[in-house]
Amino acid sequence: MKHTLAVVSFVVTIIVTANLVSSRAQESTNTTTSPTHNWAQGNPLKIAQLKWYQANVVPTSFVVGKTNNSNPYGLAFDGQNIWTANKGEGSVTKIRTSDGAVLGNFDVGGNPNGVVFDGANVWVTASPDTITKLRASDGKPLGSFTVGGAPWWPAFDGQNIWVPNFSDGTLSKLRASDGKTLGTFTESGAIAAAFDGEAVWVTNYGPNTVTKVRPSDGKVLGAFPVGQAPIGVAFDGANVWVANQADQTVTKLRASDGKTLGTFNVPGLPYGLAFDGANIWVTGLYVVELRASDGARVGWFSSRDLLNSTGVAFDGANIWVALGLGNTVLKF
Amino acid sequence: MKRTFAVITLALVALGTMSLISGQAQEAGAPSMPPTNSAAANPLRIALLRWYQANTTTRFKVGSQPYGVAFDGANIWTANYGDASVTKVRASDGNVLGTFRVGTGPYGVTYDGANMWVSNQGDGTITKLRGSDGKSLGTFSVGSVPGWMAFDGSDIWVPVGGNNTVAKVRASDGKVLGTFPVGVGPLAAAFDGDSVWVSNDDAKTVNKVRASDGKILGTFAVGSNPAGIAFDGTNIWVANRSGGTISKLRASDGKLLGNFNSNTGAYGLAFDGKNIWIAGDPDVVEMRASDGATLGIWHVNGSIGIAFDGANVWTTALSDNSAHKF
Repeated sequence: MKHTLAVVSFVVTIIVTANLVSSRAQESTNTTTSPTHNWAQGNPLKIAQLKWYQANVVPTSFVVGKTNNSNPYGLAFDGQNIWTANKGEGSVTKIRTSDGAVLGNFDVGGNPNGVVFDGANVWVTASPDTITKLRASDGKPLGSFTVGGAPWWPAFDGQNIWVPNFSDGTLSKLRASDGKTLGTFTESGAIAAAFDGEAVWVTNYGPNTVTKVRPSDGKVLGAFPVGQAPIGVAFDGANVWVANQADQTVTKLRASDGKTLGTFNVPGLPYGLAFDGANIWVTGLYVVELRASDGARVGWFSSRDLLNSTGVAFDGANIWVALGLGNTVLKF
Repeated sequence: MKRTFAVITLALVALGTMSLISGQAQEAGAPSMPPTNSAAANPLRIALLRWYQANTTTRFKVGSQPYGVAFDGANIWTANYGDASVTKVRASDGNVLGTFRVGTGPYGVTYDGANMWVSNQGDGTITKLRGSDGKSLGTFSVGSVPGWMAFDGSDIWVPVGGNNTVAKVRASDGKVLGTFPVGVGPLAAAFDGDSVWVSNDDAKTVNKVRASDGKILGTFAVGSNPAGIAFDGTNIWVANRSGGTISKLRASDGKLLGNFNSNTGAYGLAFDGKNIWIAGDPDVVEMRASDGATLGIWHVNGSIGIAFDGANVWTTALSDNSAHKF
């Protein structure tokens, strides 16, 4: 009986610990049956899909757009579907995450770069200078609004859409309900945005900084140096991550004060970033997976088919990656 | 045995350290961090980049006077009191997938894993609709003024407001298995895994009823006009409509753990894994389950029903006949 109790306690401890501090638990308890980094334990969706393994070595591929050169760049998840902004053909594709079925290709014109979901609608930025609002349920266009030049990867703050206008060096704030521009703020080299629950973070490609912006009035709360040519930006619940394309690093900054907590080498011209609850996924010439807690590289996918990945998004169970030079998206 | 304890202790220390670390991180940046961050534990919220507290812009038209709301795993259903219908709305994008005729004055909706049950206040019946396509599988008499129901895994529990009873209805075929007396004016029910809790609107009490045989295990005082009930895994939360408070009772023994200012005319309650959401008039309020602290207030006139879909919170509003997605 004593022995049984001990075993039970032990098992319970493992479970509890693994749930709350997955990486540490694995190391300290040495469970031989678990994979090296069993972050799936904390994610019921992954468990439901039997996603115990790290990722498919060969990801599942789906064609998006109507032509061979649709060039999907930005990605967004709407709760059920992934939306791709197809730079090469002026369209956006809605693809069901469960089975990869294409539910629609919708024309928005120009060269779509980025897409973001606001809870009911998707917003698609397109060069030269527009953002289009589409109803997520059926892709119906609800309005097209002029922003700055080369609008890239936008963010939603709960009420407003934030658009980095790369060629203008500005940041536009649009009210999501009606698309009205509420403000345009100077942001040299603005290329991608993310929201941390309080502030908007914008990467500045030229100045090699990431800027923290107060949503209420666009005031710059801080500009923090990162690596060279920062593009993708993601929030992990406490920290902001930035992909620095030119010097092949990823920077981790504390969201509260912008302090740099680490700079990690990531080969292959890092471009986009997404957080999956435990790890940061980096696109570029390769797809690289970093552990958010310490930046350790826990996955590296480098097959020929993966060349030049751009957008990346998490759907609660799987990671989706856009291949910007082709016409496919990959599901890991 | 010693060794096991050592491991447990170690693990607990690790746990403690981790919470300390994250706590410190939060404090270091004090004013600029969001007050809660349940997203870190919820992959669906992470996937939707739901770091912000709420989305105040999203709402979808449903039928007239939507009171109850329930989630079926993919869709939100509303009971539209004013037009004898139920609306099925896809949670991901708000697309209305169907509107289905039910009885008079539909008030509550409860899902049993395959079917949506609708209580029709006007004609004393409940209707069973197939979740996949809304097909009506039967309408069953339960007694006068059925309220917000609960499902216990095999049976539907219906507070019967006009009879001061709760009815136990077998979900498979709608057979009434028993009718048990509760307090005056039973309005809503919730299941805690063992017992059914019933709020008695006119008695300022809740009853704890054993699901197996309907035996009353306890009667506990709460505030004035208790309506919606939610279970958070350990505690029962009760919205006191006219009392201006929310009561938190320990489910195991009914001990009152606190009465918290609701900041709204509270009606429905939902739990999102970390916080309690209160639908009410004129505001929807988010309350931290651990200590009852108010975390957020959003103006939604006449919000009544409330449900969580795994990532977003939905509330029905009488003021605009819509379902609001937070």
